[in-house]
Amino acid sequence: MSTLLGFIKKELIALRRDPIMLAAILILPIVQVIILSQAITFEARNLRLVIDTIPDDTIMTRVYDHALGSGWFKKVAPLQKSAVEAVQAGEADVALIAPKGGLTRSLIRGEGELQILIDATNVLKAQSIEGYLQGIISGVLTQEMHISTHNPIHFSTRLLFNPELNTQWFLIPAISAVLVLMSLLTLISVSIAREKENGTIETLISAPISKYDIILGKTIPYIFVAFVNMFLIQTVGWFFFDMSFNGSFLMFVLSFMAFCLPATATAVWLATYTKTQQQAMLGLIIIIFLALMLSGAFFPRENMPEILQWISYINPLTHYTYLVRNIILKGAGWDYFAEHVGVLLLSGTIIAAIALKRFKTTL
Amino acid sequence: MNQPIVSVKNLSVRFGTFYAVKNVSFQVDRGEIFGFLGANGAGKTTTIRVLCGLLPATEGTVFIDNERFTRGKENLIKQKVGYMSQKFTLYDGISIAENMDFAAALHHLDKKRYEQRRTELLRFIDFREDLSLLVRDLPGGIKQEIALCVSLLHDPPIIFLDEPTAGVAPKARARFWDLIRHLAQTGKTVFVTTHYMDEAENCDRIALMRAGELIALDTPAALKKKTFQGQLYLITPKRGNVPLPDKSLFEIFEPYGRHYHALFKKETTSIQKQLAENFNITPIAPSLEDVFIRLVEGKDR
Repeated sequence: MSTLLGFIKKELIALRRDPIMLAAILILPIVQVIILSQAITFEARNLRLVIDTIPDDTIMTRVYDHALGSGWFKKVAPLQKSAVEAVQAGEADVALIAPKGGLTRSLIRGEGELQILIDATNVLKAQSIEGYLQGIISGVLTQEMHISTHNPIHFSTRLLFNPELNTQWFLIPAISAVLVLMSLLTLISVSIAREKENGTIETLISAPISKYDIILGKTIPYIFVAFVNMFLIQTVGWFFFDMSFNGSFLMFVLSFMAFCLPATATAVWLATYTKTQQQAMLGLIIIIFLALMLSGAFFPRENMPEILQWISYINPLTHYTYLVRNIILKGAGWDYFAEHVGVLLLSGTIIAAIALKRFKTTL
Repeated sequence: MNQPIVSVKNLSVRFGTFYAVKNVSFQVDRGEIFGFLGANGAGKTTTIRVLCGLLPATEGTVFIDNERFTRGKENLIKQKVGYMSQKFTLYDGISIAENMDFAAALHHLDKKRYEQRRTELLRFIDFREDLSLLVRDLPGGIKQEIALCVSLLHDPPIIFLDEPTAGVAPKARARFWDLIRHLAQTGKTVFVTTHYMDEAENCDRIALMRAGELIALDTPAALKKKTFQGQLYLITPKRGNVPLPDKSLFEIFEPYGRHYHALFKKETTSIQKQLAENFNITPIAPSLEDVFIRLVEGKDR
């Protein structure tokens, strides 16, 4: 019994004296609970809805008001483009397009087709939108317009970019983005921590080289590894899940390169705080968890509280996931690319400046 | 006049409020084997790290090969210095050749110069094994010899060896010291820290560190002479249960296994005669270990 107590005491003392381990054990669960409860939900909300109809289409207006009142949908700022173009450009999640002459007239005539145009790059969102809208339209027709037996008009739902709502198409780009982040962060920060732990860092800093040589030497090989990783994942998507590549390959590669800046800078920055591989791994768990949960890679960002949405906006993984998903599935254009790459480069430059300031070529 | 290759003036290194090295000054001449001795935590490794540019000095000045260590000149000085750390100069997971290639790249050696130096150094340590062997598969002694080659690849005029033979078998240690002596004969300056006092005997001069301060600096012979003015004796009990003699008779009475090294306060024939009943008393020459114990450890007791 005293042996067991001795073991327990020694382990607890060791734990108490390792501040990084202690932070990972005590702070991480609190952060996890907050983030998980606030940010993670599969229910889609704040979906951006646009309608396309004639000005005095009463029923369409009623449907629109009900949709906004439901809390699931939100208005989109006035657009210069058509509803279809807005969905294609990623400025709206769904467009409701009334039959010619408006929905009201169409109902009176008992003919016409109401089109629901959904951006299906996010499968979870797309499935929710279709269900929500059909429910709202039926509700308006039965409760307010007293049309109960059968709908005199047809619904036509068009799913853009992923018509079969293929979950793999939605997941693979996000998985590839997350794996690029994980491989860069892990390989670089653990590699630097290993040099410190084994003492070989002394060999590096006793050589007549600059810290830039060390940092570049420690990051470039792993950028190459992450690049190969990314291609392997995409190749699996193309060959095994019949995923199409609709965008510019150049844009795809440039996005990767832009993402490497914040990802490698974060890895180097983390390495400046750690002396052992174990500490690096604990730091990685915290960073990867936060980056993943607040990126929109798997859980919609739109549902998060505003503060978390802001945090997720400065998260480089958010922008890289958007880029990869939209380049592959939508064939996103250069304007879309410029905005997200701009954020990546800006955040990367800030993190790199901090990491470089902290990285010392002395012990 | 021959300038010293290392000149340290009033060097201090402070971590928070703790002085790891305090106001240390010394010079190292070209071509000498300079030993740096001290107990654990005496400041040996900290000093060596400052001299190699691994740690910044808190106070004081350091000149290496006539260049003052100042900000912006670190790389110039690092080119003149070879550094072999306690155990970590080599990467275990890659081969000997790959380790050497990497060291050559770190020191910006061109291919021709690198290949020439590699051949010279492998011949110097008489290494004839396969260079594709992984470092982790090498015995400790060979590993240290390869580490020495890696540290010398860029042909620095001075090499700093931080406990190069720690954990190495006695035969391999002796071989390593042969290499150090050869290096000194070729004109290289060797600055070495060690825990082994028998090894320290090989040094031209020795600096003794205690609690961050330099307490003695001289040749091994001069240190022995200065430390032991009188005759040192080896005292061995004749039987197992002999009571210890009165310690007040001795200036030094240090246990060495079942023997004692002793220096009488006042040497008289009558005292010796009295002790001779229970002990064998043999005059001996002091070793560096005696010096170390007296100067470094003795003050801590």
